Amino acid sequence: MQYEINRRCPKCGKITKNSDYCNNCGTLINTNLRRKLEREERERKRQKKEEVEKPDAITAFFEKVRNHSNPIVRVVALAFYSVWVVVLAIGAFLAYIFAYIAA
Amino acid sequence: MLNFEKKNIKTTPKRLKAFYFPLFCSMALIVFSLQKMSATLPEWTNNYLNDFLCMPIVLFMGQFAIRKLKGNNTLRLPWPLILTLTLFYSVYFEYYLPRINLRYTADFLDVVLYFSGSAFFYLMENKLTVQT
Repeated sequence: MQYEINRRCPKCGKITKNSDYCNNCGTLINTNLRRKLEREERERKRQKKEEVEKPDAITAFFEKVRNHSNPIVRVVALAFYSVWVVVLAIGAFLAYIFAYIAA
Repeated sequence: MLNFEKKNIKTTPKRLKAFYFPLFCSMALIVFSLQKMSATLPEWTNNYLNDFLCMPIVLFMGQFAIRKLKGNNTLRLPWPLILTLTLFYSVYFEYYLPRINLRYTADFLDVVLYFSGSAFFYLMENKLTVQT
């Protein structure tokens, strides 16, 4: 079943039937489509920004040390760069602090 | 119209997500300070509130450190790690410390609250997020 959709242009005020763009001035008048395009544009900008952004000093240091010529340095760097090791170390440290404060 | 309503429902957890860490820290500090001042508190606040607040605070700090270390603000803690840390806290505070120090008491409800706190953190960080 075909629906007839009338949209009023926010710029010129003309009503356009069954079209995403105003017949008079060419403005995009389909709100859903406009939001979708805005979302896509935001996502594109975000991805572009991420590509341009350089890693911070800590990340850069670990990336460098992980490719070190010495295998011992590589293993140590890998351990300290591991999510599990870091989170468990922070958790254990906080547990010690909590136990010390509560005692 | 439907999309708009759906979007409104989904934005509430995002706001909640933004302020739960400072809120929990403040609550824990207030309870701790009142306990130190020997103020009379309701039993559930005195004995159990900080046990629930503990895991979300610890896990949030761990996640924050990992995000800074890896330079990626979208990183999330995997559930096996959350579970391991919760088990560690349960064993340390409810089994190990009560055996070596009389100041600590073992309470099964505390373990339940540690896991509830971790479940809260997991849901806040993994499930209740907004698709933008």
